[in-house]
Amino acid sequence: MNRSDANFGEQVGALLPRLRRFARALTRHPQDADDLVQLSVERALTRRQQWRPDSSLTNWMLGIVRNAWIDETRSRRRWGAVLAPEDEAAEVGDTGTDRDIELWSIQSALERLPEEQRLAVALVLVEGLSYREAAQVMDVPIGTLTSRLARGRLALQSMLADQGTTRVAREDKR
Amino acid sequence: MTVTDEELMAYVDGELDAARVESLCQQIAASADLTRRVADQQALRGRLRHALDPTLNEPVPSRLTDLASRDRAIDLALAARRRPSRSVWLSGLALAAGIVLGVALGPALLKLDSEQPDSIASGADVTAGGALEDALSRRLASEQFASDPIRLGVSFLANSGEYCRTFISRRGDDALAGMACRHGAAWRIDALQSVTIGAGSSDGYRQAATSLPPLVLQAAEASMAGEPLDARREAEARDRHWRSPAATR
Repeated sequence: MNRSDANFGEQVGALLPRLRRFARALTRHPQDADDLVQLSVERALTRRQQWRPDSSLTNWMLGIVRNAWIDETRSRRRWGAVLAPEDEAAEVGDTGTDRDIELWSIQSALERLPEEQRLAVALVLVEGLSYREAAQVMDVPIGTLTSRLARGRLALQSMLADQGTTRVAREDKR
Repeated sequence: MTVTDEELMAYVDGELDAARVESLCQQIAASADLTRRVADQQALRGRLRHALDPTLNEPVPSRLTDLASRDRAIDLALAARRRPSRSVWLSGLALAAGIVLGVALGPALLKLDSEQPDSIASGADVTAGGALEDALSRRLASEQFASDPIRLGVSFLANSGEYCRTFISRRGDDALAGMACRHGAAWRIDALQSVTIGAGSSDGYRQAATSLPPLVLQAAEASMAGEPLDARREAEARDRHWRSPAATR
């Protein structure tokens, strides 16, 4: 095991908080989000030779999370019916703080976005990637990224406005 | 000159060049409508960050931080794969598997999949024994309680023509989830992944019991032919002792 290998686990370890935040934007069940991060880190550790040290480890990891998430949603679409969580309503109980409720609203709105729009929103608005970086992580042209991002944003604004908590520009660009 | 939503978004995202930013700033300053639209975009961005950023300060669960320390074991696995070797990679998972599967596993029987270090490779030829075998053979998904140490998930017919069932078996704060397929008179374990359950949290177990870990789901997904069995077909399959429908014909 050489020195860079020894550092690799540590470097990935340092990214865990960010990977968890990204995963929370993709799925609102905290346990699912951590399962996703776990799977991604396992994949990253076994595929480390695919990472080029001159590129961003963060973006490479976000790409792994994104791919793992897509694999997961594909299989879930089929399994969701038989493996649905027993009681979603229990998640936000009477004890929910304002912060919990706000997080729940945001995550619920994100969850209703088409997968590719949600990824674009999470990468750019939550993770703060540039358009170029986000397009690379999603493996799409920049134009595709910006159009998914724009549609995702408009949909989110309208959903969140329906909850009566934010104003939205409904006028369009004409 | 009209300003599109996309351009305002790019402005808020810091994606415009300096010249365009300058001219846009003047337009924004001169238009209440533009000012409001920019504010809306900034508000959305701020709201997302405000809701999700606290995750950054939460303690990271040990099952994730532990992965880095397990990193050495994976290096061993990779090294072993490079040279043909009789090395056997045993870990806590293997020991737990011995207990869960109810069989004394010879070390050679159990080999961790080096690609997926937390699961057992398909084809490792491990069969279920003891309580797990009993549950797989006899119990229907509709007959179980949340407190059962072994919980059955779904049953289905695999592409191989065999019946397969998913399960989660709990042991203390840990659990193993897996998929077993009926092969002859035995249940062959085709996938196994450890699941960490929050210490003493029955909620965690309930959730774990209903959502299989990704590797097991992937294995089941890859081998399932058609849809999972409904309660009636599951009962029929059990009553025929899970014999492959192809074999009984």
